[in-house]
Amino acid sequence: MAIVGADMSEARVTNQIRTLRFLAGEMTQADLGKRVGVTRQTIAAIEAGKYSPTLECAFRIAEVFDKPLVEVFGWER
Amino acid sequence: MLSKERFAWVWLTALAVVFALYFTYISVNADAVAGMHMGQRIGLLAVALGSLGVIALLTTLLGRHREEDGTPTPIDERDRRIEARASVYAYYVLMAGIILVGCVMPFTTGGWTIVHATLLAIAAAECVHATLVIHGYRRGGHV
Repeated sequence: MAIVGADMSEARVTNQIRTLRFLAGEMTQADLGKRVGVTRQTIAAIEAGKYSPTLECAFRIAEVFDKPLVEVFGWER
Repeated sequence: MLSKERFAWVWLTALAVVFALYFTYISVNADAVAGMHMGQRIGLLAVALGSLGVIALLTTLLGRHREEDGTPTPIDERDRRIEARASVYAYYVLMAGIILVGCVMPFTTGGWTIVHATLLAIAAAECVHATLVIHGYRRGGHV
């Protein structure tokens, strides 16, 4: 159960997109963006942890790599 | 740099330069401007606003980024989030300006002072919008 008002300032979304792109034959950010429906810059921002994607976008990225969501994205405190 | 960020930079610079020139001109030549006919004063204002329009149009036309297949770069969720955040804060600034101009200034002043205050309110809101768009793309888009 979520704790309302809990301090989550230190928590952040992590991801394995760079690794998964490498394992998928050096898939480019542009290719991934095209398959997901976002720009290359957005993929770069997600990879760098500067932008947290919507749940729908996260599922689409996981679908491209044929992985469950938790293997692509994590929650780090 | 994304075309949207580039546009925001150009727009912010254009706003600062054009309004600085306009307000400097009418301040330095206050007596001459006060003696102008209504048409001349509106013309002066139209030149300032028209130049902003031309800059915006040229920047949009020249800065349109296209994909390799020639289609325009799509707007995605991050663009929409950055735009929404910038618009919310710009709206607050505009509302504050409009309340000042529409509800306070008519009781203390009038005429061209109100016109210029309105322009400043719009310019301030646009500057806040452009600044937050730039900030959003620089930081990555977190709200």
